[in-house]
Amino acid sequence: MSTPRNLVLAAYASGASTRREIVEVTLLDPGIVDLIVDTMIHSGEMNRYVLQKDCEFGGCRGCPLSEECAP
Amino acid sequence: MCSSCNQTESPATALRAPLVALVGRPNVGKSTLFSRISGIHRKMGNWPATTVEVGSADIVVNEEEFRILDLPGISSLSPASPDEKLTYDILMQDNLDLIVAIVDASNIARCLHLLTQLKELNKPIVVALTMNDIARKRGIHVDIEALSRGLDLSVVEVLPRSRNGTAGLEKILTQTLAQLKSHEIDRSAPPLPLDDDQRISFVNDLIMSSVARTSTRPTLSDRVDRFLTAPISGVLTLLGVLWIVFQSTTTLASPFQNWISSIISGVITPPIEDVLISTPWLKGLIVDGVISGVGTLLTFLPVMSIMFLLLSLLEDSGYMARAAVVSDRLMRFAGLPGKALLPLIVGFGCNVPAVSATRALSDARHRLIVGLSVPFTACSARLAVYIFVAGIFFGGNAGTVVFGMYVVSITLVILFSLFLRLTLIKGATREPLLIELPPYRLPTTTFVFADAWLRVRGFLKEVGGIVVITVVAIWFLMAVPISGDHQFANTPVNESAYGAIAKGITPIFVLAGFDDWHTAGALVTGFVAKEVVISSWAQNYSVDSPNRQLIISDLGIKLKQDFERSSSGHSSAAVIAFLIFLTSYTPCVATIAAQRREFGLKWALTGVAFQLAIAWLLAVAVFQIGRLLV
Repeated sequence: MSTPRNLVLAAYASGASTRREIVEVTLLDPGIVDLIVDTMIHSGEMNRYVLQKDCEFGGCRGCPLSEECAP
Repeated sequence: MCSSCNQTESPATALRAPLVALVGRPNVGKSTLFSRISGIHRKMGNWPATTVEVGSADIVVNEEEFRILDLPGISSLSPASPDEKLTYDILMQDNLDLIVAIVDASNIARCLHLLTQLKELNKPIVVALTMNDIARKRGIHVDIEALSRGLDLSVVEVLPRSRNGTAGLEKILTQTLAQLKSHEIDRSAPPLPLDDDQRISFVNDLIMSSVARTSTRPTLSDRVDRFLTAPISGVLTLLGVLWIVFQSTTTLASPFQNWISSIISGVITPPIEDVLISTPWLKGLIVDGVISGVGTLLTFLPVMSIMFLLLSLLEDSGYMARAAVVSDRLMRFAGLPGKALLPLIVGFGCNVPAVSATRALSDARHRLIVGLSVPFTACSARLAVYIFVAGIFFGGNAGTVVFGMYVVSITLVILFSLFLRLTLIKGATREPLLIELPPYRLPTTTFVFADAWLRVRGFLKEVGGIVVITVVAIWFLMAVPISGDHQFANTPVNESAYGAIAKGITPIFVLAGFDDWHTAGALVTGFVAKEVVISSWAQNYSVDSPNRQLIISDLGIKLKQDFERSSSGHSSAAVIAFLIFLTSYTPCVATIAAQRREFGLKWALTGVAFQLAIAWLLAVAVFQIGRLLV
């Protein structure tokens, strides 16, 4: 059965990678898409990472954020 | 406070003021509503035996007295913090008579999801719909009657900031409490608990039947996003932005580089030479080694500063997340999971943490594919060499050449990943990535400078640490005689241990057009760290100079002469071949160590073998084809 959650998962699988793309593919309310992502993060089905643009020279040695680098 | 809260009697029988709780997600206007209802009667304080602050007030409305609690915000009935746990505990108490569920109309889906969970508690609920004015401005129109029907609950619109609707809410509260007292509310049949999927479906149906969105016209931000993340315009914009960054960096930094170079060679070096003139070995170590090697790298301080500033500007403006969406498509083309983007982006700064960051991928095969592909990402250390070499050989087009090396790097990552996925490491599963696009904004000076400084500081630490150590080690190898009758520290480089190693390797690069021992030696020391390639060149040429002195600005002339000679007049092709070799071969020993730690020695060595083979084959191919064209 095509529940909203299944629609979002199918949108992922077909290559949607932003909320806007998922809304366009599923025709769901943007709030519902946010809600589904929330619940998936809450249940551990999805993980949230901070997108770092790069790291310092010399690897982790001089980086104050090194402990957060590798989950 | 609230001594009655631990009572367990039924509200219909207890001789106490009914207890009403305001419950909702954080930032839905709950506390503002509480202030409006409670007025001067409200008290704030920690809940007994906790450090969680709860507001309470004993108030009389329409001659009906009740106690109202302002509970900490909660996202779901699975508490994730002490505040949420307290709200949950109070909601579970029998003496709670009525819940006022606050629903933010501008964030209605999430609020209704919480409301579906509250309904399962089988307690009387009245819904206060807040932020409806903001929702309307965003084109979200809530049909309150339809919502009330769908929920089978009373729904009252309130705008606590302007007092609108609070009287209506108070009226419904007193009516509901009166119904409770007279047992008019049937609580004998609690609703069946739903699973999350069913709750979301219920909320979705509710929104479909009671919420209309009229703001279908995309905002300016949406239109810009559509352009910046589209398959073709997104890729072209990303390439254009990268080209502007590298071209601006090389152009703007050039005068500052020349200034630092003249300070090092004209102001710092001569007095030190004068002092050390009586101890040639120490002069060799300090002037030819440390000052020449480290000084050359320090001329890159303006380059790094300008580039990091530009990248920080892009980051703070919100563009980087859009670039990530475009890159994500490239990852998928290579059959890599979206999450592979995380370590690969880290890799463009430094490959070592990027290898560790592959732990973000849950599939072991994905971790291996990405971990073995990371060394092809052009780390910041390689960037210094790109800029140095491109500046010498390509002048005004240096930025374009550097940009080209990044395109080569990205292409290598994609093709090598594809190769691994199709040959050695088959059968990896999909792992999707959802990228949150932050709003566009004007970059803030504080963030941009602080972020750039963090990275510049890393560059300086590297120059002051591993580069100095390597320079001293090279000096030591140059000082050790292995043939002839020479003393330690008084050996021609030809007959030193370093010379023997460099010259032994040189023939490997004949077909690639850069079979010169200065360059071969620099590539060997490049295994320690890539920026060492520059300091090694400076040291090699300095030691090899007839008067054992080298002005840093002369280094470019000597490099040009040697590339011209080794390539038989096809120096441009040889230099491009050299840069591609530099991009493809093993980044540093620290990366090999990280790969060994993550994937074991066998895979780490397999990776090194692939990198060296690919680097050599590409360099030879580029030179051999290039010499025919240039």
